[in-house]
Amino acid sequence: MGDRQDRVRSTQAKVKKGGPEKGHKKQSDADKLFVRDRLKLFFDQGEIRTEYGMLARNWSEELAADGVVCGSGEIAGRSVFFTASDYTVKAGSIGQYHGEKLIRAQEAAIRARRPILYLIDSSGARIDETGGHHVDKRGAGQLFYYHSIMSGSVPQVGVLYGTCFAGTAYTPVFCDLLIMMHDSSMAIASPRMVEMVIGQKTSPDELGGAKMHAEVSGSAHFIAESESHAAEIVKKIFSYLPDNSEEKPARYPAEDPEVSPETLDDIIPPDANKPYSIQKLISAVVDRGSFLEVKEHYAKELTVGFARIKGQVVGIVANNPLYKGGAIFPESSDKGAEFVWLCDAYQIPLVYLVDTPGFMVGTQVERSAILKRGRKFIYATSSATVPRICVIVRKSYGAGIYAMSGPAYDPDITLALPSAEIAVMGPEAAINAVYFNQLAQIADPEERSKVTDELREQYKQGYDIFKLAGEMVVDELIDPSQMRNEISSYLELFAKKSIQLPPKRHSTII
Amino acid sequence: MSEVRSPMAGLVVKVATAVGAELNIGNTVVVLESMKLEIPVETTSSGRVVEIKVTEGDFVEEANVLVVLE
Repeated sequence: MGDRQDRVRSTQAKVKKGGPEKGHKKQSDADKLFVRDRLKLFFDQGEIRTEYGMLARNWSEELAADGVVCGSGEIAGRSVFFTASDYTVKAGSIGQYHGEKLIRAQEAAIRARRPILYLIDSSGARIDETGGHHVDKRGAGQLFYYHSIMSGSVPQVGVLYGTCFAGTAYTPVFCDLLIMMHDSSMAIASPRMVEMVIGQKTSPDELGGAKMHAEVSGSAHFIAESESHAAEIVKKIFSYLPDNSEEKPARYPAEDPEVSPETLDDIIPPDANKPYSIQKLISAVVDRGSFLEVKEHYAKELTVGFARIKGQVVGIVANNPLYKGGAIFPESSDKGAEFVWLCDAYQIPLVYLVDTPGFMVGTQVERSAILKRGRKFIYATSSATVPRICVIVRKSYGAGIYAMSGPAYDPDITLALPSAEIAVMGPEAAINAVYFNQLAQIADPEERSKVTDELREQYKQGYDIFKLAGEMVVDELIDPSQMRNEISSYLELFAKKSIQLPPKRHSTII
Repeated sequence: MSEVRSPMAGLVVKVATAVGAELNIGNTVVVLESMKLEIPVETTSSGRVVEIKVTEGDFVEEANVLVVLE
């Protein structure tokens, strides 16, 4: 072996060891893996396929690869770009070349039309190097510019390890799907900074812990209990996503559902007041083990997630009557809109399961902009051009069905189960609203109650699902045990769907 | 001490427990009527009821304390 070759090898070997001993100790004390061991969990055969910028700043002993490993690897045979902070090198801080490596990865993903995975374990900008340069025309300041322009073009998936404050906390939230390690946190400013500028005392966990972001802010899509768990979630996510917006998701062999479709009708209680698990209903429709619930801890009244039906990838959007009666809140509107938008960007057909009393009402939700945020959900659904299938599972009152791709919102098919009820409002409220004066005039309470019951019964007959099927309000009233087969057939039929929206630059709704 | 809070705004149509009752996880303490539905509110921890903060007919906002357990 010649000297030249030897020099390359020995330099590479040195770089692959990462930062100094104290950096490794910090990382292992925090129960976190060294970046190169971490990367092994993600890729086929545990191998990085290509790496660039390994020798960045190779004149500085302690700044191996300038604190970030960048390149590509394969997940289930498909190439994915990655950037992975090395916390052992100056706490994964973003120095000049580190920043350059990050944006080169983004540029490469955009050109190669392939997904990108960000493994973030960084304390933020390396302050001593960045004074003023964070606004340079070219450099790390462009990170969020690239995040923005590549959004919807190629999938961006992130995993957050450790604490991540200020600038770097934007990369996680720009990801289409973000996994936070259970002990990680992110915030626009660190607790120390928060105390300095507004006098508030807080902890990283309270300020921006994984639990807070998964349950309250809705910024985290998944929580991982261990580093290998995070890698498993990432691999599963990529099984549903295509490489880019022009491709369709891969098909998988069909699997029988976990719960027999024969029992589907029994899962749904006849009384619209009675809650049940929508996840159970989903498991009687989709392929066994294929449902990956997204944001499962946030706005639980709406359940969203990826699944496969007879091997074909779908996005499920379902009201969950187990929480808040399945009413749509401002938070669930955001959750629904974002998920619908994500699926539409990556050609994932949508299946809506409707069981909602509608958008929530009252002072609290008005202050939280239920109208404006509900509009976003309706908008996302209306403008999604992927195949859309609407299934009316049970109650469907008020305007909730608009957001849920009801018949007037141009789904490719609207199916109803025999448990379906479609009305402007439920019978109790409707009778009170329409006949309030008449009922008030009846002095005898017993007589009033009798008349009320009769009116409710009459009203109910008006939205009897057989009558609505007769009037073709729904396209078809189906045998519940056939729901999976029906959905699968329509997915096949509309696989090449093509529709044009009116010409425009873009909508004004965001 | 733990508290059972209202999951959403609505009307208390039934108080299904009493002070002194020993409750397990998943017991219904209050039934709310909201959005034309009956919403049973359940305990998420076990304990003895030390205080009931609402009576039938009360309007409650989301996150209001309904029942206090010890």
